[in-house]
Amino acid sequence: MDDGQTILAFSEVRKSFGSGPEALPIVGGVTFDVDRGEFITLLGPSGCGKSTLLNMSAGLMQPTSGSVAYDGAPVQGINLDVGYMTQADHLLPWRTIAGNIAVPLEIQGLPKAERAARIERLLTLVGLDRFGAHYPSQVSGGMRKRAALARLLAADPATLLMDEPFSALDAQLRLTMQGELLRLCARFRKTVLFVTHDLDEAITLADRCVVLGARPTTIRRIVPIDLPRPRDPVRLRTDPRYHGLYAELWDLLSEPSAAAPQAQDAPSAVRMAGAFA
Amino acid sequence: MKIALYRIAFLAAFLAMWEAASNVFDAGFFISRPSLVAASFLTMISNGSFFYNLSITATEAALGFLFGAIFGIGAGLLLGRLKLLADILDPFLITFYSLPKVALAPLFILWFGIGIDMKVILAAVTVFFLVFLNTYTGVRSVSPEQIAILRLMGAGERALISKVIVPSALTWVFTGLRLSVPYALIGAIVGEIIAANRGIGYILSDAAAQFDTAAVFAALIGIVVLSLIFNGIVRFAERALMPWKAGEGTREISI
Repeated sequence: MDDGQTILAFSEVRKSFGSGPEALPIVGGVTFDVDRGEFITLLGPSGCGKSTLLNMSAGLMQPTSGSVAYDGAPVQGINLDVGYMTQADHLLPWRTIAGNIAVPLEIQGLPKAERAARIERLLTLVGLDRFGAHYPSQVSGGMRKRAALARLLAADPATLLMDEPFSALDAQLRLTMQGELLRLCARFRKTVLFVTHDLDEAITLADRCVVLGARPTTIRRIVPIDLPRPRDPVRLRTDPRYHGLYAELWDLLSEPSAAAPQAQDAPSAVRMAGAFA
Repeated sequence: MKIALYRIAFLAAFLAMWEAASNVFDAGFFISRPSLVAASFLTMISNGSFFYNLSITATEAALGFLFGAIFGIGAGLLLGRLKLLADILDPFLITFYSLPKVALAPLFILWFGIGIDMKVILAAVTVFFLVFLNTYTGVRSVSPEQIAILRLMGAGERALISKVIVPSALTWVFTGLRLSVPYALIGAIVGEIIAANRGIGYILSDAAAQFDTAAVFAALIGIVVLSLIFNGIVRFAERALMPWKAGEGTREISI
């Protein structure tokens, strides 16, 4: 695969929920390109339509106007080249951790012996090698998150869509998971679109950070994060350039127009429900 | 252990009061007495009529339960996935559901006679609706996020049904099945009371017609035993088919 080529292109994307005069505009004209192998973070206030952009990339939603193109073609119907990971892990509670990781492998039609070997490797990769036989309800939130990550890697999509996947974790675990995600993405050269409202996360992970304004979402600025890789999420924070970027993103986020509509959080319910209805 | 002793004590006290009440109020005709019930029960066991009639009722209820459950699960899965069909049929299903199924018994006698098949069908119709409605609700309440995530992994309709929809609806299906156990028995026994010459329901109505209160109670004990056995089987199947439920009860909660 050639890095640097455009894989995902948003052009003048607009999205409203409802129709007629009652229509609620969520995304108000977003244009940007994602290069193959690039790590993009989407940073913005909650309820600003970040997830809607992911849903449109996955083909779970169509833009009201404008276009979302994946690999040169407009996204129509389910985009099988992407994998989705959300704040809730959405593991199947009736399958063990290993059984959950097996789901995409079964769908791909991998023979049983090969499946077992892959699952074993993936469990080790995310540090769950002793927990394959446990049910999701028997392990901690962090372990479930790792299991969801392993399942995502088992599906092996070229592009990962991640919607605040670590926001429910405590600070320490979140740093660990960020470190692991960086390591895995570097190793498997994935393209990632990562939604977050956390400034540190947005800087730590990204090649470029797309700063979005409040609803209806437009791009405030795309900030290149030119910090050297490989990165250590903890060490990074002592880098003076990191502080510069943090201040820059903070100023962008707290520009006056962003503050007002943040209070109404109506579309967060619309977010997933609307997408998957 | 201690609780078991209290329970035995409670049962003994209850039986003693029953026996005493029967003597004090001279009400043996209406409530019989435990000693007579036990005697009647033992007679029924020793002459073989108890197990013979119980096995007839058990067969009727079990077959009715089985057919009702199979069609109920099938229809629930189908309508759960075919939104349009469900919308079309909704008012008709609700109308039919609101009809007490026992009221169909005379019609079924007309159609199927007074043999075992009439009781099986009566039980099956009752069970069908309970299992169908629960399965349908279960299929409709499958997490749309889980479906979307599996679709993105390339899952087709068949993989969705076998990997997400059926296991997810299983909890609901079993709720329907557990609710259905007494109704399967109601179908079979009501069928027997209305028209039959064997089965525990027949024993019940026959004993009552002869003012043999002790035998009525003995038949009731048989029905309770049958109901307990059926419930036990469903619970066992539930635990065997849904092992992940075992861990959920012991999970910590955080509010």
